[in-house]
Amino acid sequence: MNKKFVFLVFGILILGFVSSADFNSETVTGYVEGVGGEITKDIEFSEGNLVKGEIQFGDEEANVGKFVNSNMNDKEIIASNVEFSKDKTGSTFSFNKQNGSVEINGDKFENVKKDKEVGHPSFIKLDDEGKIEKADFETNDKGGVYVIDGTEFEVPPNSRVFYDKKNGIIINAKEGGKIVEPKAKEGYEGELQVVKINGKDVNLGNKLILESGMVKWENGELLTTEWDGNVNLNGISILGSNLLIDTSKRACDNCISFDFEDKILIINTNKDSIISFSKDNPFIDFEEGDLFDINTYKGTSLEIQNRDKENKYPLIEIKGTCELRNGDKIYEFLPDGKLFVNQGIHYYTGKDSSKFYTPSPVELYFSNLKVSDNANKHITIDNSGSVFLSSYDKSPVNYNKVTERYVENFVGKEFSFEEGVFEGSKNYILESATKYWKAISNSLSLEEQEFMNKDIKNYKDTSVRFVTDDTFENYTGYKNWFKSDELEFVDYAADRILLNPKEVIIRADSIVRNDDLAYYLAVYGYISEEEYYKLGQKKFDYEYVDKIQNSLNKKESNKIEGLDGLSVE
Amino acid sequence: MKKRGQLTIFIIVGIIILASIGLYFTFRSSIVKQEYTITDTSNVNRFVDDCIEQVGIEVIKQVSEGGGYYFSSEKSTSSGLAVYYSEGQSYVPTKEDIEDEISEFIKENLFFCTQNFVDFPDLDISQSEISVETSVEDENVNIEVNYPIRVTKGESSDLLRDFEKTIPVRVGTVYWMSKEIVQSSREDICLSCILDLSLENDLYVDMNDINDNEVMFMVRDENSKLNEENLEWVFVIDYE
Repeated sequence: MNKKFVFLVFGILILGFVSSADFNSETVTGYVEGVGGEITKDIEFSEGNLVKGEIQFGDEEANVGKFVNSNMNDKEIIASNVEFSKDKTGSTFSFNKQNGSVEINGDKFENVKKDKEVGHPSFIKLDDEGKIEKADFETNDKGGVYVIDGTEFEVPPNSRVFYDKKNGIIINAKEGGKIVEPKAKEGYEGELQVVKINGKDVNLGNKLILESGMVKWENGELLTTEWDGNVNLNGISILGSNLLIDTSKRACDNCISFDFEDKILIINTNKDSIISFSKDNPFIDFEEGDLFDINTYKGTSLEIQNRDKENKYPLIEIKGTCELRNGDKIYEFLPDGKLFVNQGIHYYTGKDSSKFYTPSPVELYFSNLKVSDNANKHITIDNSGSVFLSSYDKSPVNYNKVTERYVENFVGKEFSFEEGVFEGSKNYILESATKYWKAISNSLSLEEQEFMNKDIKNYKDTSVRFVTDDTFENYTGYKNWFKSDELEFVDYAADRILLNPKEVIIRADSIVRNDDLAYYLAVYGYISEEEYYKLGQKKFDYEYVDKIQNSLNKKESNKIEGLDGLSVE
Repeated sequence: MKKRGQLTIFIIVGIIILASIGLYFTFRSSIVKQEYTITDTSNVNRFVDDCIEQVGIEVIKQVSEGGGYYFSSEKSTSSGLAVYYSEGQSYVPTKEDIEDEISEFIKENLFFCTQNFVDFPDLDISQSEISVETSVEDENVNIEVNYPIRVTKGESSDLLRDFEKTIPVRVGTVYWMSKEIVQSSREDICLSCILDLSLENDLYVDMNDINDNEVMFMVRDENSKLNEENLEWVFVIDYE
């Protein structure tokens, strides 16, 4: 007969005694010792109940229902490798050892890291009736399925769980963890607890990824919480209270429905919400530096179709009132069918007002648009932020459509395009030039703008002419003739650009997107450095820029010193 | 045989070219002046009429592109565009202001077109002060010019005085639309209002940001041509 067997027999006897006889200090002490536990702080009893004390349990499972309340059955609560403490606020089981476990009415809390490992108290606190009042613990590498108040929920590995009666269950999921929909414990028919989930890149199922922020499962529905800040799902940031997050194309009056297969997003709201799009969203073409937010109100209904398969801009069908912030513009769709646009983005406190935002291309269909009945109610905003109303090809009204005349007004420099230059190249060049000057005028003070203009624009008085391949080759093919002409030939660079003090001639055919041209446009200040990086990705060589600028200042010289391979005598 | 035929053709063509050059130099002066050397007042009348039309078109074009002003208005942007609304204050010129502006600069510029009638050396032409009355209508601009001109040749003398020209450009419509745009878009740009107006009046509107606060509006009428170019009315709203 070994020692262990003796203790077991002794424990069973004690248990029988405890269950049948008085529940007091002696019986508890005997039982604890019998299961290999230890009383670490003196226990106190009052009116037959344990009211104070601390007990450390070991590997052996201890039936401790009566420790919580003498009227409970012993086996209602089973503990091992946890510390039990009791005071007037209730009973607490602390996970202070490896393999700690507490089973409450058959619902086991195991695979929990010990408190020293997680750096904070790790516990489950019960009230006098043995119901969980509060909990805070973190799962180990195995994760676990737990039940609190009839609600069964799965917690991914290495994730923290909080619970209190006010906030319900909160799972702080480990990055990359997967969460499934909580359900009722078998046989439980009561209301389910609210389960809130936060974390980074948490898989919520049905391709839904919680990138950051908090969502909640409530009554079988996945919802945003009540103003707990933004929740980021699949590249979309949502600030809205109790907005249903749906992936089954459900119709509802306050929801955001994701259809990842057809790339359709439906938003219906019955209260104010802000939906912000970011780089990895599958619905709007969003690039770094863009800003695309939608403010929705009661009765707003939006359907966003990506349409990339049709090679079209995303389409947004708008019903009701909403506010779209796209790039540096705010578009207001009002209940009376009016559509306003303003530059109020700079007063929008949610974003960095000093930053220059770029737009995402999109086609809008505002069914309430107050125009004559037979008018086309589509509004197109292209990649450069140009707005075309009614028709894209021949719009009767457009806003910030970049034309030669506009750029000339803006830049104060004559731009001309030879007939035959591709429309795409032309638009690209005009847009680049506009963006460059807009960036300057939006981000710098007047003094700084003046300085920039003086410093960068050595060719301030020149005009800029974009020519076709053929014309360009004619010029370069007859360099001597060109040089002897009244135009003083200064630079012939990379087969793309001809420079002289009076005119900049740039080859503007299909090769316009070439890195080299972008480089030269950037060097000479026709596009911004930022634009250049987007196009070229080549390192900007400031030494080289200085050389060019210094050489250009010596206009009496036909040769740019030090630019081997680029200068022409 | 073939070669001889070709030579003959070259000789004939050469003679024709030489003859043409000779004839040209002989009658050159009469070709150049053909239009205004006939000594009757109707040609002077036609000449002045043409000048009024030419100057009228140029002035209307300039005034339209200046938002109702020939030169920059007092309230204008740094690049000289007319500001129609700024800081709660409207600066839209009245129709009468525009009519006066057109009249004033037709009057100023007419002289540069008639050039003291130097193209009529055979006539003795004296002129008195010009006065111009312009009426801007929806569909056209009527220009009435009181330009007393006495044309004398030898003993005969004629007095020309009243000229009237109608330029078929929808300045009135474009101006009205510009006023409506200011009315509807003084706080924010009402895109739907502008679209509705443009569809209703068959006009085009281009808007461009000049900077964070100023937006340039260009109302374009592709049905009204001024020297083969569309009528364009340009103004700015300051959204500061």
